[in-house]
Amino acid sequence: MLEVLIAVTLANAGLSGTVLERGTRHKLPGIEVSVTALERSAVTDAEGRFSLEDLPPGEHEVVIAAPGYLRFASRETLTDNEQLEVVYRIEREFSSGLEATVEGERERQELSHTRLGPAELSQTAGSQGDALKVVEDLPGVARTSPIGGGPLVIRGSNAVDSGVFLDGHPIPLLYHFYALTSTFNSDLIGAIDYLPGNFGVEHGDFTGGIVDVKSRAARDELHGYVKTSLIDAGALLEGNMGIAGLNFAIAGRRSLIDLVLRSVSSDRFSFTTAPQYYDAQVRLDYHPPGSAHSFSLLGLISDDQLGLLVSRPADADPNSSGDAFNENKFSQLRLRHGYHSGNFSLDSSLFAGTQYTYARYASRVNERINEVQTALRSTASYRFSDVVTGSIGLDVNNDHFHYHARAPSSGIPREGDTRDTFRPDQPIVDQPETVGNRFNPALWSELRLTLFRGFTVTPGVRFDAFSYMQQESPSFTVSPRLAARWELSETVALKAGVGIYTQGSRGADMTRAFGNPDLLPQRALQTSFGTELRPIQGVLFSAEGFYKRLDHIPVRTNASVVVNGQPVPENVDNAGIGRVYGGEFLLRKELTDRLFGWISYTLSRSERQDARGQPWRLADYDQTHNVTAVISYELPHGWQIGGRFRFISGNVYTPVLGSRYLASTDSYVAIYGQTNSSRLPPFSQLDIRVDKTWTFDHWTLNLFLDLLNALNHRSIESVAYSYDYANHQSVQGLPIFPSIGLKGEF
Amino acid sequence: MRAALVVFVFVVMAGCSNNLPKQSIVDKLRVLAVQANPAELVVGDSLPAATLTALAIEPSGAPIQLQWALCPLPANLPPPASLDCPGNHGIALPQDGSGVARLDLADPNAQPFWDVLYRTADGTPLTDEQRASTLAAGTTAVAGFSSTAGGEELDGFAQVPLRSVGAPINHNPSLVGLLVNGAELPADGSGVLAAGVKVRLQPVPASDAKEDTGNGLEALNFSFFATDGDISSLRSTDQTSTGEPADSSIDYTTPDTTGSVRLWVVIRDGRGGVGWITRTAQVR
Repeated sequence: MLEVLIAVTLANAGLSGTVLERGTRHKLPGIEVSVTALERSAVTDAEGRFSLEDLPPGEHEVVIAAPGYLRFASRETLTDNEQLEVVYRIEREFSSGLEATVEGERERQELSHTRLGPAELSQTAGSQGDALKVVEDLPGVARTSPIGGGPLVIRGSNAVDSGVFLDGHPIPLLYHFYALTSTFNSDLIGAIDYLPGNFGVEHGDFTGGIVDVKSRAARDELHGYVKTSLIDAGALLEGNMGIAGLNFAIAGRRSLIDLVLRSVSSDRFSFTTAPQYYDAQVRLDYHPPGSAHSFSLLGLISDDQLGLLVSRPADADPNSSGDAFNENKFSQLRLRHGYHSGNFSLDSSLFAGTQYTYARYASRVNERINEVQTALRSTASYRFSDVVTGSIGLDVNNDHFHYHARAPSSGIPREGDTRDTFRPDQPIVDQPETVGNRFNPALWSELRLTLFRGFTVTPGVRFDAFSYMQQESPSFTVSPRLAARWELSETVALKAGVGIYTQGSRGADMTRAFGNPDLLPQRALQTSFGTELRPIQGVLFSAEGFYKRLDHIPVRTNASVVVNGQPVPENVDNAGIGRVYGGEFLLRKELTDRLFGWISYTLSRSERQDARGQPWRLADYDQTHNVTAVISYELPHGWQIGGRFRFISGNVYTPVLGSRYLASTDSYVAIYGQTNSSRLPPFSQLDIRVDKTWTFDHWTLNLFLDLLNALNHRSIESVAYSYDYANHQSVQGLPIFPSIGLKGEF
Repeated sequence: MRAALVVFVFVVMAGCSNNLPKQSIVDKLRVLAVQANPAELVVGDSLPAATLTALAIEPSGAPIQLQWALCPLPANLPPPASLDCPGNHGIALPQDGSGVARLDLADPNAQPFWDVLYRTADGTPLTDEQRASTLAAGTTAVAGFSSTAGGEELDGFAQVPLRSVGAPINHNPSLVGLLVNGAELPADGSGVLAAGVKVRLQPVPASDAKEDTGNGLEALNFSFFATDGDISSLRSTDQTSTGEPADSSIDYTTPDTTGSVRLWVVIRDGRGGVGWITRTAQVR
């Protein structure tokens, strides 16, 4: 497409202009613009500009034949003493995801590390366009929800033991309504780093794995979109603010499902607040040209609400009628500063956030929590030589909260619980309005030593303190960690690691009514050993064995403790022990213009001992075999097709041996066998995704169809029992489930 | 706590349809309710006693044997499903020829009950202050039962409220009738229902069924059972637990085949008070 802008009279005829990408309007550097008959050419600069001087007047064919782009040709007529100014828009041969800038990366080399880029995060089949759900397809991650999302279980750890960080600070709620769609806009994610174990000392207060989400910088050219799907609609706008190096991005999204569901009702219930959610993000980036300093400010909010009026008591509990409402809301602000000059870098971030949780359910639950969170992270690195790089860091987190709760004494669901834990005759506990505080400062230090060519060791140590308002004295932990990597050649590397990881108690565990303020931090010893092979460019094979030993796991107890001279239930103690071992295999085709994909296989076993001397049992999300194959391929004319196949061992469950009738609640409680001693049949599912992108001069239109369970194979998700547990039947998973989205982008 | 949402969804979804046997259909040995009389055990100048009567049903008419025991448990600890009571962990309760048991907390044999009541779950004795506050706040006396008939067995627990004197004593609510499409279903079994049709059942509580709790009137909950046909909802209430008025009637689809059908409605006041009504109708 040709657009003639101006003609300027100069001494000689010439041709100059700008080369942009059609649809996205990106300025394209390094593109050769040729006047083939004259054997004259010029290459565009960083701003996409080119200039050809001293051309003879007359008609000339201008050709651009750039790799990855369709051939472009245009005939220009030059007149004597005229400089013709043009804008050329060339079209990509294959549409692909946005390139993203992730700034402020400290040079490091995690032992077990997989990075997913924008295209993989947005176009993987089965993820419904949600970046965080793609992590589920990586080795070591358990499947915990029929629609993706759900609790994050990494290498057999408990769901609360793995952390999801956004630019170094935790996100309190990953998904709207716990599994629907992530609370942070996937289009503002630059990359996700997946660290399943043996991560470095920079991260702490988690004994499982880490998902490190890195937001991308706002673009300096005007860009935006409007998009909609079956469940929500959103928009994004970003660009430069008129000052060099100062860019902004703003995005928002709101659910649509409540518009459909608000009229749904039955004689059993009706919606008082149809399930609705929204989230919004604002970002400012400032990187003065030529400066070693960079700043960014990121703000985000998220809100989920759901309300029901249950007019008929449920079969399981005659007292379960009435008003029910749940709201989860949080807001966060992150201010980052980066300084990189020569061998020295300093990255710091200040964080402030609020979180509000309110839940009421009939007359049995009424809980309200208000939290204010503040944090400071700062990391300084210095490259002393080619052999030694040192880093030190500060990681200070404070969580101040007000809460009151009226709830069954069993409190939060725990790993290993059966349905009996939440039986209708559970006594109700009232915890009056209480103030609490959790303070966790940490200091860490790490060296990266290249002992000889290709062999690096990274010893580090982290000191954590955990201090709670209701605790008499704080706990201190020391976590030494060591990672080693040996590049035997350009194609083969060996890696190994060992380390201690600790995690302080959180949430209801910090309360006397439902937990135990005197809990000690959990602890894990993690070890791993593996190899990486890169037989050809862009292909990676990784094999890694791991073993984890967990102790001080909080578990339920019937013991009592003396508080203010009176014995009260201890609720929870640190008697739990765990062990996880297995191997992970990953064959990955890294992203190129047209193809990406991977096959992962995890063989593992996760076990728990609820107290010393008790028999080992399988953990709730033990999944012996987990095979996932993902592929995505770009076709011509804006088409893209992808698929995901998964084969995963069935979920474990606790068998029922009998039941007892409870006359006071007219319900039955099950008599259970050994915890998690039975297993459902394996799960398998094929998901298919098709994208079609139409490219216009100034914008693109993308339509995608993500078909979950394309073969309509109904795996068994759980077991349902009759009222007295005398009969049971399998509960099948979702049928074929389409997710459709439309996005107009400029 | 996200448990709230988890429990909430679970309880609501538990009402979703499946092919499993329904609790509202009585087709085997069942116990539909246990009534304590009086409805509460109130500790005053003397230790209280109550009779325990089970609404035990065996549709074929086989004789039902009942065995009762008092289960010593720490205060407010829900009885574990595997508790051997009646059995090694129970104190046998005397009963009359019709299976009605007498629970007398003044009986010297009941002393182990009091010993365990005033301990925590790990056996630590409560302080005197905690003992007094436990009774003042209210706890339960747990009685276990075992019923057998025609080779079937059903075990269960009845939890009778136990407290010290203070609030007015609670009474068992009662039902005086059952309406079918607005008309009284006779108690003598002479009522007739058309086969294969949907009718509206409306329980009629006695005029004094709703008592003042001190925080407003009780909510009355109803459970519906039948030997045949289809009951649209096992439960209904006249007022939700958070105070919204509700419709206590439900739909009943009569059997397709002619014969007799038995119906039961159990009324509960949410504070341990229980009553019931039985009706038989001819389906033609």
